[in-house]
Amino acid sequence: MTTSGLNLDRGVPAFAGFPTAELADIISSAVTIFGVPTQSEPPKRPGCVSGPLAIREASLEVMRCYFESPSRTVVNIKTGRKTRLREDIVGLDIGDLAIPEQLSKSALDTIAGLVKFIVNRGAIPVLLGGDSRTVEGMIRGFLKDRMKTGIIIFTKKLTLSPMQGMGEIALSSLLGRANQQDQCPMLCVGINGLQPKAAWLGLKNIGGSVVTADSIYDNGIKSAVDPIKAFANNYDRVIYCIDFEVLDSGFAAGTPSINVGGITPEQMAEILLETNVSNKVAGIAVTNVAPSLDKRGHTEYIAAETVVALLTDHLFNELSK
Amino acid sequence: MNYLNSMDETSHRKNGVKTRPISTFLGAPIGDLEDLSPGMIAIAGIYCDHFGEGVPGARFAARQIRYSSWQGLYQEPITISTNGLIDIGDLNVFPLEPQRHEKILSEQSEKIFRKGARLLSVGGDYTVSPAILKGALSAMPDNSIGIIRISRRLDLFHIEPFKNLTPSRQRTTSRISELINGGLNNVVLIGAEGSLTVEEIEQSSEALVIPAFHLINNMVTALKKIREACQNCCDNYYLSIDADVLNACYDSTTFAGNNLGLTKEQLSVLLDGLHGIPVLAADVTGFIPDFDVTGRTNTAIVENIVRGVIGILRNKEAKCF
Repeated sequence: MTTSGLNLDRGVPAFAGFPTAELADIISSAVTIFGVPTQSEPPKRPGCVSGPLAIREASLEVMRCYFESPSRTVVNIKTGRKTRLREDIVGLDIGDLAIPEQLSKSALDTIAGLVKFIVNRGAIPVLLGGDSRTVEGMIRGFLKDRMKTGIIIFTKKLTLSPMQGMGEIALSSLLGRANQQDQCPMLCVGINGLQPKAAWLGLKNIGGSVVTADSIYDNGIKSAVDPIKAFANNYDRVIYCIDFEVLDSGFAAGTPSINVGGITPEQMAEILLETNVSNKVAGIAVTNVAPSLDKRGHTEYIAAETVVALLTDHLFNELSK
Repeated sequence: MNYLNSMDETSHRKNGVKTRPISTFLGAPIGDLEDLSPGMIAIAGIYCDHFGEGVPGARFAARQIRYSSWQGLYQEPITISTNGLIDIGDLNVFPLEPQRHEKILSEQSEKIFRKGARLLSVGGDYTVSPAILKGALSAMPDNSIGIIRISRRLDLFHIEPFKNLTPSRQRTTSRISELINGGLNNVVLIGAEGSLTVEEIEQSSEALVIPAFHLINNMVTALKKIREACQNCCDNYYLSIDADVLNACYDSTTFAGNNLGLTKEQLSVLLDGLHGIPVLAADVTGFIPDFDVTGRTNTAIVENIVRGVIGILRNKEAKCF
């Protein structure tokens, strides 16, 4: 599980060239990638089922400059930041969950069980979606853990989409009674457009915070960076849930529904770079990536870039100050 | 036959037949090698995709811009004079045999340069540049030729594909620098962005590198640097433009989106700023019409780039025969 052991077989694209592995191989602090290929329910557009595979393929493109360099060292031409691919990367890709395309309650239980298993082994689960509702399984997998965990959600809506036999739910309802802490462990970034009143009230009742896309446009990325930093400081670890519908559809068309006025990929990249809480990341979920809807392939590329950015400390050594 | 006259539909109606003329680049007359004379600009299509593992489709660039030109001429005022322009059709290519491909492009371009004409090629990938440059050097062995390359990549670093993981993208700038006198000292690389391997950065130290963010932040200073570097340095210049230099929201040509690239206005200002530099030949590559999800928008943008390049090629100072 070091860089020399990366799985570089083009035939089976694993995320970032990680080795493919079984559940039994998961060890402490291993970045553990797994796909949840599920569709969104109508009237949302289908396509998310191909998300995990497309993100894996795009991740190879994102990491390409590291693989091309004999010294595995890369310089950002704008910032001058120099990073080297770690020799001791502990990462593995355990493949996709074998569940039906249409998400169901039992599928959510399966996701929650897997996340719990990974977390109990001291590893970091990285979920590649799939519909955004898969986030429910991810968060449930963490809920009963005793560590103080904050949840940062990049999304355009304060709700999660409906699934087979179950309606739309508010994000605040994911925490339920498990939220025993003084401050709500949920920060929502990129909220845009009209929101259901119940979802607003729900988040308000649990003391949740919101950073809207409008405020990022009006006041710059600082309006998101500062709250995220302050939020992350309050917790031992954070879970990042990125619903790619948060991005403006002009930049990332491959999502089940349209977002006009969402944040740009550049804003997202800068926010993640500036906040730099990679050392606190306990889990990542990237959802709502529908490659068939984005002929240009930008959406999955941005998704892969996002995961790599969130795993910076695990993947790279910083060579420049 | 004067192509523009043939666009008068009345003459067709007189004969009871309504047709439209064959689409050519910017409505230029159709011609062949024997129609070229000193000072003329020959525009040619390159029916060829990327030789690496890039997404196929660049072979359709010339065709699509020809169609786009016709629509533009028909529906909008003509903004460029076609005097001295000749569309010589598509050059012969061997799209599956890189060495034969380079040889035949070189031979054809040499014949064009021996007529004293300038050449603008549209379509294909960056490997077109060394082939045409070889032709120019054969036709004008006493002339010194410098390179101006506008692209998000430097394409300097020689390395074989890494265990079949990384695409076999050609390191063409290095090859070009070996062809010309002065090597990288006579190469200007404009528009680089993102992460580059440390080896490539070190190798680029001899060339003038103007990153995209320099152009975005201070176009005037960047242009001054470029003009100073090109002043009295070489007899002629070869201008190569890869459409991937554009920001992803303006450009749909590449699989990997460039979120920090130039806007179409910035590229237009950059091209305007290159007027006066003796450019002998140019290529516009990297445009894949299949990704033009909006129909004609990106084709129109690339068509505009072609117009800008023709403006530069019209400079009388280029030392042809």
